[in-house]
Amino acid sequence: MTDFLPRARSVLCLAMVLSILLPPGASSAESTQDRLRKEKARLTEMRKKAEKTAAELNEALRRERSARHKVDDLQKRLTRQRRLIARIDGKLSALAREMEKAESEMRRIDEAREGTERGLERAAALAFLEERQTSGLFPLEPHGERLRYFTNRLLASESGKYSRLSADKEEKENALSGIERQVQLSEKRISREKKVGESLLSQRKKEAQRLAQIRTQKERKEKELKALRARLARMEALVSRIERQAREAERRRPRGREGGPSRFSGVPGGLVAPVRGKVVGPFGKYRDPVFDVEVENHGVEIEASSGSPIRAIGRGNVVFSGTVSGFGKVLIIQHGTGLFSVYGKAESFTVAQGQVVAPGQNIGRLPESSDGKSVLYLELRAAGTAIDPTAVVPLSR
Amino acid sequence: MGRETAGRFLLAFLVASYFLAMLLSGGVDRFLSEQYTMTAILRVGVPDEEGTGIEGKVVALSPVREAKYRNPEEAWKEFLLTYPGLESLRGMGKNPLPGYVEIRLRPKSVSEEGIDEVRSALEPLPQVEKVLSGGAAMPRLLRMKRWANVLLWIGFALMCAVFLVILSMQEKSRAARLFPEVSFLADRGVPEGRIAAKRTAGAFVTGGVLILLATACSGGALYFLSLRFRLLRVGVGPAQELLDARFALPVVLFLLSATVVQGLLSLAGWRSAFSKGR
Repeated sequence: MTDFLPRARSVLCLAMVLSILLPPGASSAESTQDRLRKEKARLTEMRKKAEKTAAELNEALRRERSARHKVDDLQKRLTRQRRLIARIDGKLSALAREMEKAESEMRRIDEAREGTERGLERAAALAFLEERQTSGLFPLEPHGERLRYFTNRLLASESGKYSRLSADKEEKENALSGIERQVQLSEKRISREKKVGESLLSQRKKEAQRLAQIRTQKERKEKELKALRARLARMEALVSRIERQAREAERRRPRGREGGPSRFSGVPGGLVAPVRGKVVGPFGKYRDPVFDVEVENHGVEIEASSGSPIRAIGRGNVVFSGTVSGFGKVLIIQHGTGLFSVYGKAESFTVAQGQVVAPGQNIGRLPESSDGKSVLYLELRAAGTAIDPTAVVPLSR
Repeated sequence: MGRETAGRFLLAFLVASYFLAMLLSGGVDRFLSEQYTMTAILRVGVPDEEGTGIEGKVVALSPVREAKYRNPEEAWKEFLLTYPGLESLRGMGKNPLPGYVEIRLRPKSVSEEGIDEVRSALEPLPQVEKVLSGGAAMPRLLRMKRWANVLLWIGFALMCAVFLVILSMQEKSRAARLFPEVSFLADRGVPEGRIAAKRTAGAFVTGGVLILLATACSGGALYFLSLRFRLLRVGVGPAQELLDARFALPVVLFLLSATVVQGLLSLAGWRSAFSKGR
């Protein structure tokens, strides 16, 4: 599209020049001018459409990039979240294993403790009975003393064991409650993280849906753009054909009748700056950050106070005044043979087609804007080629 | 005369039985030695060989009549036999009880000295955890044993005294009965001293025979009764032990003293009868 626009523009200009230069009486020239006018109107419409589609595509691309960034970011966060959840899960499993071990240990201690308790009770009862039986003068049973000793020994051993088991149980219970606390905390954390993960997942889903929509839109726009480029290419071919016809008309013109200067330096009265301001958009090729393509600028953009008057850069004849999509109000002045100046993005023009303008004459004004700054598009063409306006017109950079 | 002899034999039999029973039992010594046991509790983990070695060492001690080593398993079985239902105390299959050596003392050694001798021999051994010897009740028990022995010997003395009194009364009455005949012989020129000497010599012989017979009978009776009655065997002891040399001297002394006493009592009876007749 970027290649097509300047070419179409040059063809248009050529057609207009031809329409001016051709003798008014010639019927072939008239028909050519009519056709040129029609083609011009068609071209303008197509340009409008192309610019609209480009703007839409631009927006779609921007949205796609933003959506892709978001999806990537969500994906990263989701991966991090999943890793965290997996780590917590691992920790939870380890805690569960530890808890199971501690619980079985507790059960074992409890069983041992119960057994010891029973034994202890029985041994205590026996020891009591023994003491009561032998509280007399003589241990009547020959083995009484030994059995009593054994009973007391068992009693002491069992009570020691009981105390140890009780302490052990208490310790294990503390450990178990600690593990339970840890498990609770981990479970809380994991449920929290899972919630975050779920919300990220739903966000990712939404973004993915949005991205898919944008992609669809982009594909549609790309198709539209392709179709438009094809139409512009056809238009380019048509304009080239008209340019050839204009050159033919030029050749047929009677000798001795001059068409004006063929260089801007030769324009009578010299050249003046169209507005007071500085160049903000340079001439030549530059890279479009939105489409990521190389774009060639055939003119410059001059920033000036909004509402400033626009002056003609030199003497010439107004060959076109109208609206071009993307450039707003456009005025084209022919200064000589193959020399044209194009003014775009104006609020309005005060001169009409066919009118002769003097250098520095007020021809229109810039639009008003809230920030007090407006931009004028200025393009200079010599023999069908765009030249850098800063090289011939005194402009401050 | 026959009744007198039978009565005297019966008395002699009773006195001899009492004496032999006291001789065999040592009073309550034998009963106590049957009932009383000392126990050397070994430490947990002492191997059976060491336990058996300690048993041999204990048996060699003079106050010890018998010693038996019981390993921990036997101790556990004995404990469960006495207190069934305590199997749960054997935690995780590990026997909580140690082995021990059961010691029985000789009857004469059931005393502070005998117990201390055994205790002092066992306590220094590193394998021995504790020596059980009756605890705080033992001194009281030994004091009671001494008193019981004294009482039993007093009983024997009383029995002897009764025997003497009865014998002297018998001799006196017999001398009084024979006084007319002795007077007749004396009047015919037979010296009184010769008659008295003959009578005394006769009394010695018959008294000796009587006490010998009575002692033999009581020994036999003790033997047969101890075979039949366990209590007698436990309390008095096996009568065949009377044949041991250690009992020979006391028995001979008993027989001699009983013979002498009977002879002297006969003489004393004559004298009394003659002095009263004149």
